[in-house]
Amino acid sequence: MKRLSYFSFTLLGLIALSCNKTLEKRPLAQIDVSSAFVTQDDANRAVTAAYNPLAGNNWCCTFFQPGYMHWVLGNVASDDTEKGGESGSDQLYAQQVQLFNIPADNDATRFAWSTEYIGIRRSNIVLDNIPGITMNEDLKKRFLAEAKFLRAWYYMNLVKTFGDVPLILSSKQDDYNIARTPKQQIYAQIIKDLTEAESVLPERSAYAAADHGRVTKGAAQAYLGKTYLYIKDYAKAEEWFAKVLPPPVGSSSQYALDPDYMGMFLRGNGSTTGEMSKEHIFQVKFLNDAGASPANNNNIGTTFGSRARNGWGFNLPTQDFVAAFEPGDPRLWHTVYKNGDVMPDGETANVGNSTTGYLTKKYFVPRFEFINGSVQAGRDDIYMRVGKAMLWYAEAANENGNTVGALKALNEIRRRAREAGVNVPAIVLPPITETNKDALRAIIWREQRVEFGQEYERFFELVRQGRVGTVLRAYAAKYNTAKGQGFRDGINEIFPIPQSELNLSKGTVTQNPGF
Amino acid sequence: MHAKFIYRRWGLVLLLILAYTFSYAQKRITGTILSENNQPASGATVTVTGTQVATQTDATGKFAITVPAGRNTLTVTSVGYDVQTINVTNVANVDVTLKTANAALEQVVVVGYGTQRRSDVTGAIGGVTAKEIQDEPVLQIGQALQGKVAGLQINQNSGAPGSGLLIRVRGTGTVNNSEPLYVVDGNPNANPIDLNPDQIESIQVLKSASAAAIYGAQGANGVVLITTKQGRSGRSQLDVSFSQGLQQIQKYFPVTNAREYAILYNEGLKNAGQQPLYPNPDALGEGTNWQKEVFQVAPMTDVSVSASGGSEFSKFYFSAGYTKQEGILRGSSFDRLNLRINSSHNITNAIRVGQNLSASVAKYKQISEFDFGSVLGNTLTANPEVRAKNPDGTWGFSPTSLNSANPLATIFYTNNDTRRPVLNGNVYADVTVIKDLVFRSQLNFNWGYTEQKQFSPVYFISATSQNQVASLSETSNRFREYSWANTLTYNKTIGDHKFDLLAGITNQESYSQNIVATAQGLPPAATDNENLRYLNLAITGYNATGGAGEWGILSYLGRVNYNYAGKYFSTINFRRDGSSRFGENNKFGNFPSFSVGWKLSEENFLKQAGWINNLMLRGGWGSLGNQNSLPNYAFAYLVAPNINYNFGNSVVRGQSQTGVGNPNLKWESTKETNIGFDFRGFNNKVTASFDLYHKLTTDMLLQVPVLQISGIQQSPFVNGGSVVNKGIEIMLGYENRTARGFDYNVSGNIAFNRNKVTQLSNTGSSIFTQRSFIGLLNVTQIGSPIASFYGWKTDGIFQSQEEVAKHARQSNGTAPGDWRFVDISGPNGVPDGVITALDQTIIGNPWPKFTYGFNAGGSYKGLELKLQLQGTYGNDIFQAFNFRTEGANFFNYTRNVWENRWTGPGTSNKLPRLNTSDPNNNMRSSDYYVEDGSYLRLRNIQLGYRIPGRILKLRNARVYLSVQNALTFTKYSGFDPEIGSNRNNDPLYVGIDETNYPLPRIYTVGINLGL
Repeated sequence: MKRLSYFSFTLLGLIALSCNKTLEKRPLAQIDVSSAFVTQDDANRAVTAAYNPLAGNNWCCTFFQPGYMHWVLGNVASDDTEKGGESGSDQLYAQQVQLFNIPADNDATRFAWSTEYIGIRRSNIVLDNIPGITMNEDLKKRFLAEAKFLRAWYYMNLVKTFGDVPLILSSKQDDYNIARTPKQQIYAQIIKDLTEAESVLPERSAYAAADHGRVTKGAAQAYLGKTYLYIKDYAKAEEWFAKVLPPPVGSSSQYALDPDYMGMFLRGNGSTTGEMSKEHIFQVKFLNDAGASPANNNNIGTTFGSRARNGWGFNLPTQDFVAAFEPGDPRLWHTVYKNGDVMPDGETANVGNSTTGYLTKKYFVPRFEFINGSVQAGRDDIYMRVGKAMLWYAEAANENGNTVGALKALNEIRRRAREAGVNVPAIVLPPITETNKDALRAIIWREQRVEFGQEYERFFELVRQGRVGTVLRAYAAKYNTAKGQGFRDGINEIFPIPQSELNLSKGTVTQNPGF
Repeated sequence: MHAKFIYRRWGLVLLLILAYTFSYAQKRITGTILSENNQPASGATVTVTGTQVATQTDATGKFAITVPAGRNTLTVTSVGYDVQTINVTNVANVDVTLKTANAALEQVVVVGYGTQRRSDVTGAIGGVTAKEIQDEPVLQIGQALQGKVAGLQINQNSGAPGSGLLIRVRGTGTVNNSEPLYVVDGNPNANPIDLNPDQIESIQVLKSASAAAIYGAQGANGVVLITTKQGRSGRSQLDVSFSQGLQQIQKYFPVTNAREYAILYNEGLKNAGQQPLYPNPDALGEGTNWQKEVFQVAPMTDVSVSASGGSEFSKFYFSAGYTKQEGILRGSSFDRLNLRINSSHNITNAIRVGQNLSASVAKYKQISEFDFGSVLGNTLTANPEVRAKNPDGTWGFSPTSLNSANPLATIFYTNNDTRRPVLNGNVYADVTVIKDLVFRSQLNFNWGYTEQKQFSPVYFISATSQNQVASLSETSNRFREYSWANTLTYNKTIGDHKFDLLAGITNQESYSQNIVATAQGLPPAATDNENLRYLNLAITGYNATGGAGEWGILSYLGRVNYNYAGKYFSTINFRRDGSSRFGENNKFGNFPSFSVGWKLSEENFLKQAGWINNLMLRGGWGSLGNQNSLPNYAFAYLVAPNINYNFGNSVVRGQSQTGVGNPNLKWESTKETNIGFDFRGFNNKVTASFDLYHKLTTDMLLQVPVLQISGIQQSPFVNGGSVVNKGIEIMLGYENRTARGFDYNVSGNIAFNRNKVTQLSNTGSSIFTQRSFIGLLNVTQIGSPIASFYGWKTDGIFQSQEEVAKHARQSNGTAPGDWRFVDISGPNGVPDGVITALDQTIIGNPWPKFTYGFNAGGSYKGLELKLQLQGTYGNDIFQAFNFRTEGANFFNYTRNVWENRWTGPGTSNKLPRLNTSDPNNNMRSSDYYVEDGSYLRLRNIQLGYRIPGRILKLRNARVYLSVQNALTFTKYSGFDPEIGSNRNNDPLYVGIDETNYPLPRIYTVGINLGL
């Protein structure tokens, strides 16, 4: 029996040994929320994460998390751009958008909705948690201002895409099932955030080179201008755009029209300013840096690139878009290219399977920008630049009766365009002298179409200008195509709310009419 | 009691000394042992009863043994035969004829932390023994089970050498991890890929919850118990086996040749209003048959050497095996070296210690196979106009076509090598504390890692197909796992009452870590020189990342087996598990089960029925958990690292909360009721068994979608789903031996299973699988089987514009020649005249209505023939790669398109027109993709011959021929209807064919020799 008792004790010992160590596993290789907002570095990390969803145009489901598909909703939905790709079903969501057969589970609209709300949550996390961190107070204020700008930018995308959207201003909400807030209130919040950010953010020149890409006072000003333009407060729009514009229109020394129209879309080297161009007011930064992966690499070079060059051949400029350029306008062949063109890297263009015969040159990646043989050059996406601000200023000024100001801005753009070409005769893009408000408006609109063509604005511009249905149906009739034909007035100006969101909210979030 | 042991021991020694000293008292006995058919029984063990004196018979069945004084009986044992005791008091020569043991009745099977007589088992189990799987050229134990156990659905995920298996026990009970638990010699969680089938003695599958409940929180998907071979006392034995196989593709997939391809592509362009690309298709002729280029006849070799033996004190089994399989897809291969040492030692009469140790190194060379862009995907879509190689030896490409991929070149430049060294095994001690009470302590371990090296060399095929910078990626996944099981068993018989009691504590901990390092810019010479493929030679793009995780389970377990008079049986299991993966508020779960059995054949009223040898009615209920369904730290609120952004010219690290934790998480639980019977009768010639079960999974872990306006990306896990599996399993067998010595047997099994989701925590939160180009292609929703195929229904092809106009509106641009999709619903639940997402519905079921197997064998005088058939019925396959091979674009087409596409009114109702811009989106997910996946396969046919001992003086000498996957009967048009899961065993990725690597047909010759 001694043996029995010996083993009984051993057994008891074993029971004691099998202690909590087995069951208590603190997360390995993971950071707990409780220790995530302590230092200045933590604050920087939280702000950095709030910038991350800016990286739009990301491809569905493969290399990156999906992002806001600016090229689909801004370009393909309009008369400027055909979807392209391998076949009709290749990136079906874009096909659905261009034919206006848009179901409530369309991927482009789902990604737009979810990505922008991810950005809003990340901004709210900054605004909720950084005030409590002990750190440099000036930097803290700047971080908070950056977050406010970002939150405004994300809401701007939401409101122009969906109209009324739920307004979320905290990351600590218990219940997110809230109804859509009227878009006037969303705009008011955007203006509030941008105004507060504008008063704190540093000028572009005040940032160190290592901070290039952070939002600036100028960016806040330009987006205030754009926001007021969208709500048709032309006086405020003119006022805010003027603050950011260089002479002769405004007085800012921070920005300038880049004499090299094509070069400002490149990455930049000795001869072009590229990403560092003084024309850029707000850009989404990308980098091809396999070393520090996961970096945000810009996939757009591949997406828009020729199939003959390992691209996928999307975003095809239409014949109608090409025809909108005035004869000899050097911007045309800086914006699109066709078979046989000699490209900036000296290669002869082959547009692959482009059905329109054109591909987008603003996003063309020349051989000298390839990184390790890849067309994913890590080039920035430019969302706000002086060219846009100046023509929007012109439009606002014209509406306000400031014809002189409008013409000055318009002709400055045309001068730059003309001078951006090689040996372009003065007869090309002559100065505009039209003073009739309606006629001038039409001229400005056309100038906008060509100046920032394929830059993700056209569809929303047509909506803002109240002529989208007319323009798209005219396009469909003229080219006898299904594209644009299905546009329904009063419905297709905005996109459907994702079906999954309607289901989950059990009726709290309602669908846009017509979907 | 202690003193008694010592006395006995000394007594034995004294006896031996006496035996030595008084040698005159010894006597020598010789004899011959014959098997039932009067063949010499070699390798039978003859022991002087009650002593350690033993010998073995030679190849002619003869033996000689010296019997010490005072001993007068011999015990003869031989595997598969009854033990015989022979009195040798007055004889010097004996002839003994062995009697075949009633194996099925006496067979002892492992049931988890112990063994039981097969005929006494009250739960539903099934299995195979080494004898049943010998000579099958299988690399993995799971393949050996295919078609042999009712209720087991086994599909090879791919024909790639060394690829894993999809194994489902009684259907899929969850949308999460559905893998059964593998327990090798009591070591849980060993990976079957690391085991050599040659070294396995038996495999038991615990199917019903009442059988698997002793594994508690890890048993919900069934438990596969694997027992490796052990040494036996007696003369040492040496076994050598060798087999050589040749593999070939079973069938080629019919695609168009260069001329046909050009005609079809031109047609697609023309229909889209574009210029045709090929001015003269006829000039192109046949072109390249890419499948013939990339597939090859490939060898497969298996060698194994094992030695075993032992005495009453020590036993050993040693085995070394090597397997090498080249793939039928060029460039792919697998090889594995296994070493195993199993031994056990009786230290005293009360203490036994032992160890099972396995070391293996597996190596893979992989060629990408699934999905478009993979080598196999490209093989179907590659341009037949492109040459594999140009006359000057350079790789072929097309300067004009956008379809210029050269799969053969891709294979050539692929370097994707994985090594997987694994050490697993256990040490144990059995201590008899007092009579009938045994304490066992067993320490198990699994250590190892997989290291993968992917090298992409510098090459130039054409301007569009080149790589300018060599890159290297090295990945290491390390794991180490320990478990310690301490159990007490007590077996006692009091009169007619027989008890087996078990109590134990187990503790299991698992740790894994991964390290990934990549770099670019290796020397160009590395393209040809493997010695230069190391990270230090790279010049740029250095990156390192990694991660880790761990979990632990602490368990208390107990079991009572009680039977009365061999008639009434009952088993009660109880297990209490705690897991680190679960929330603070639900750390522990209890998993009880019970089962009862009634051996009718032992009752007086049936004992007289001569045709019944054994009849057991049995039934049970059990509760199980599935802890593997959860990530390690789902309970915690964590911050996601590496949400980066670029400022200036560098990447800045960011982090944010992307998810939320749930401290209330608890077990996904499965409750199953099972009733059945086992029958053996008609002189043990007929066997039958039947099972009926109802398995309900509740608290299924789901990531419930949260409103996206919250910005939360990782939906939290919650317990909130239910799945029911119901089924019937039937097994019938017949075996007989004729008077002239012809043995034959046939057996068949069939299993029906119905799978249905009965609850998902949130209405409207169906779970979809999405594929680009196709859209949502399967759904898991209430009332339907898990992962049902999803899409639109087609109703033929529009033949005229009137038909388009008359039908519900599909799309802008819909025209004659496009699919007519059925308008089944609308916003108000009724057809609304528009084809929208609301018209999508369930269009197929990936799960078979039933699976079945049929095995037959016959032997006569050493000649043996075996047949194994296996099949599924009623399952569908979603042929997902069609969107490329049959959609209109620049990829190569199937012959089906050539023959059946629509080219004008009345030409076809089977396939739409070709149109490269496809405005109708004909290639959206629809029932067009869904095909009947039923098949019947002659999985193995083999002929063996045992060379008689009079020719070769060996204990065993056998040669055989076999053909695996000899014939397949199916309507499925793809390479192979056997489709597993190709996305890391994603349980929702079932029956979707994305150009899975087809299983080869294998011709094998082999020889087994035993000394």
